[in-house]
Amino acid sequence: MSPAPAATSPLAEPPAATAPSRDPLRIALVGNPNTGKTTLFNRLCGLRAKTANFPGTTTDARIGRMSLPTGRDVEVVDLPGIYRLTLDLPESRVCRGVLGGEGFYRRPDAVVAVLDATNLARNLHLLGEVLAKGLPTVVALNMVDLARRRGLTFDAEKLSRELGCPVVPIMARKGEGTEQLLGQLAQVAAATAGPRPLTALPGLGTEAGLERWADGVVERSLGGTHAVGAGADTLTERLDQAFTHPILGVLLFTLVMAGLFWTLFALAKVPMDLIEATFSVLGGWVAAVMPAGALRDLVANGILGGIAGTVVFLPQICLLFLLISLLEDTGYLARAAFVMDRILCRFGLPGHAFVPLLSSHACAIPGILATRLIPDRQDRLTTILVAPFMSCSARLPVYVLLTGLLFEDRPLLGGLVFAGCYLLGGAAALLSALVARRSFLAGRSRPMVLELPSYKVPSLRTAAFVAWDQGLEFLKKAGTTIMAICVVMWWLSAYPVTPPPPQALALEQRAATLAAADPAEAERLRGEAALLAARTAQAGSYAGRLGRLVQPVFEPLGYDWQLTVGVLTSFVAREVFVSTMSVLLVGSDDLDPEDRGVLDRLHGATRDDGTLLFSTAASASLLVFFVLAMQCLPTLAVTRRETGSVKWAALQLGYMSALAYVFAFITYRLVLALGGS
Amino acid sequence: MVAFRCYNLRVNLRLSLNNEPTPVRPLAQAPTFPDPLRLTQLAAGSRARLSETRLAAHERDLLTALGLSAGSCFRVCRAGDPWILEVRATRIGLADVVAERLLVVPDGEP
Repeated sequence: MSPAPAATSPLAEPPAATAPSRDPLRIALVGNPNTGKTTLFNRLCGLRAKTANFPGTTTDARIGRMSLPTGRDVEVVDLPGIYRLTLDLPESRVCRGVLGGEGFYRRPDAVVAVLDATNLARNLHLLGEVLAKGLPTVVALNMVDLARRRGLTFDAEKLSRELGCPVVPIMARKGEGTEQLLGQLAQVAAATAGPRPLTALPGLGTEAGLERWADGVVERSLGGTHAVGAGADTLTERLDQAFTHPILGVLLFTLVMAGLFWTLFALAKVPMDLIEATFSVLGGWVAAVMPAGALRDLVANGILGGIAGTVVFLPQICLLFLLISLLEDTGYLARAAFVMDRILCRFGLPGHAFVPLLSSHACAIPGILATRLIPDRQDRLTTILVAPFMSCSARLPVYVLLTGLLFEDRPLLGGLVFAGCYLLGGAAALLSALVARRSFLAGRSRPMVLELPSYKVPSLRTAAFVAWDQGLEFLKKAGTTIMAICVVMWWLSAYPVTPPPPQALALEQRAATLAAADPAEAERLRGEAALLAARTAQAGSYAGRLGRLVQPVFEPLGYDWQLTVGVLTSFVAREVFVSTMSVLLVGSDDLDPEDRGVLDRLHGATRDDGTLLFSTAASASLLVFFVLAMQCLPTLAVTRRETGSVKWAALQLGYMSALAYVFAFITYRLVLALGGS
Repeated sequence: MVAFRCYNLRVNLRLSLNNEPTPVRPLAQAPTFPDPLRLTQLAAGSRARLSETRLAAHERDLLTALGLSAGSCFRVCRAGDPWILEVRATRIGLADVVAERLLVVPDGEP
């Protein structure tokens, strides 16, 4: 099937003799969802693409660059997949704005409409609306191979005459037909014709007219509407029955998700460990090379620590998007959304929310980024607000530490409480969603109406592009904020530098004198001196002072100033609580929460008044606080970015912190009332 | 045709038992046409034509964009939540709450 230049179309006129413009030609890619539009974009632009937001929206815009055979530069805008321009959806609004050259948008010079050859009649409805805009248009008729397998044949020339614009059959996945498409685009670039006359396509102003026109085009160029997609697909029927079955569907969903998260954790662990090790070596190298002082501390601990704290998320984020993209490409995700919709809709969440909520068990940041799958803004906001309730991997060391302290000799009970923490987080997320949908985000989740795309072998190439894009975007947008936060929190914990107390100096002196006679005792004394020095430094830092200042607020929850410092510093990231407690109580920031010796030392740690620091009531209260509290500034940065407003991030922080405070208080009082210490 | 009458009888009985009003046939419609039913009253494999939607405008518009508008013929591929309809070459999944608000006229043709 060869490309069909439209003889009657002004687009097919021979190149004008005028000198080519230096401005890049701006081309918009338009099409229904699942037509292979993004696959074509990746074929055309490769890595020469960047992701940004359409101005004034949170809708992704991918803009790429390429060159035509004539040497003319082209800027390609990959518009979001839409069914119709006229729909009242954010994606349709963006497309209307771009094609109309409204507001911030520069009107494209031409449009490439990507149509699914297996579903031409419906795709023509959108094309009709696009043609009515009067922009020079080239039709890329994609998936012709799949259509051929279903016994469909196309007369591209006839179709081109009907549409009044060139039609190029392509197979975007294999890259076939893209050369011919570029050739047609070169003709468009050279054409001097202005917008097409709308009179060529009569009756497009009404719904019925559009339908008549689309049916007529199919009838005349393809031999009847029933020719398209009439073939029964028994495999699709069977797979749909299995994937959406009330019991089998849930089982298959559980298996797929378990596989996804196992792969995510197993594969991400290696690069994450490598990143941590690399930055550790880099930090050591900087400390060795640079002269001691504030600048060295800033570079080695603040800046490198901040970069490490950002980059370490990257493997999980890239892998998550790679796996989700592969799953989405297979066509399974649309079916899975219906399975989860039965449960989640009772809490005002859409079926689409299951991927973000599950992802949040790894980390809330990729979870919140994954909410882009949710089409309705209210549904998406609700999911973003409750996603951090899911117990992320950063909470894990805190749970291990506190359950270890609480149930030292009862591992079974400890295990049950550990699992209970996950359940409590999940319940808090669902109930909070319900509260949100009955108050400030009033309304039910949008009932599911979804196209179930054809099952396909996923494209690793497309998934890799998605993962690369999302990783870069995370680094550029959220990463910079996260790094800044890490540097600030490091500074608050490290400054002002407090000299070691006289007792520590005395211990050091004693250790020095005993070094030769009793090395073991000298080592012990040095350890004690280091602990004293670290505690003094932490207490004297701005974070420590803040801890003492804020401690009365946490007094009702049973926390002294040390626990308060731990809670405050854990706002950088929850796991920081463990290292802060380690610095304050053990004298090292490399604490293993499963080390019995260390646990014993923490268990025996005391407050200034001599009572146990980790009393039963205070530990239980802390556990509940950590399950429910929004102690992750990087997540707040991502919430702000994804919602486009600081008010949602502030609400998330305020709501979750208040809930955590109230339930931690209730827990503390309850344990005391039940006779706990 | 016999099968159709039986089916309608069963459906009407179910409607009466549920104390739900049977949709009133418009006066202008030819009396030989079957009454509109809720989509949820159809079985898998049935073919029908969409008669009326009782949905919010944005939901109706989305269905129309997917190819399911008043008068469209479709086949029920799966009955029950989710409902799966095949409209020409498009397979559309619908939550139960949406399917309940679609009135359809069964189509006798295979």
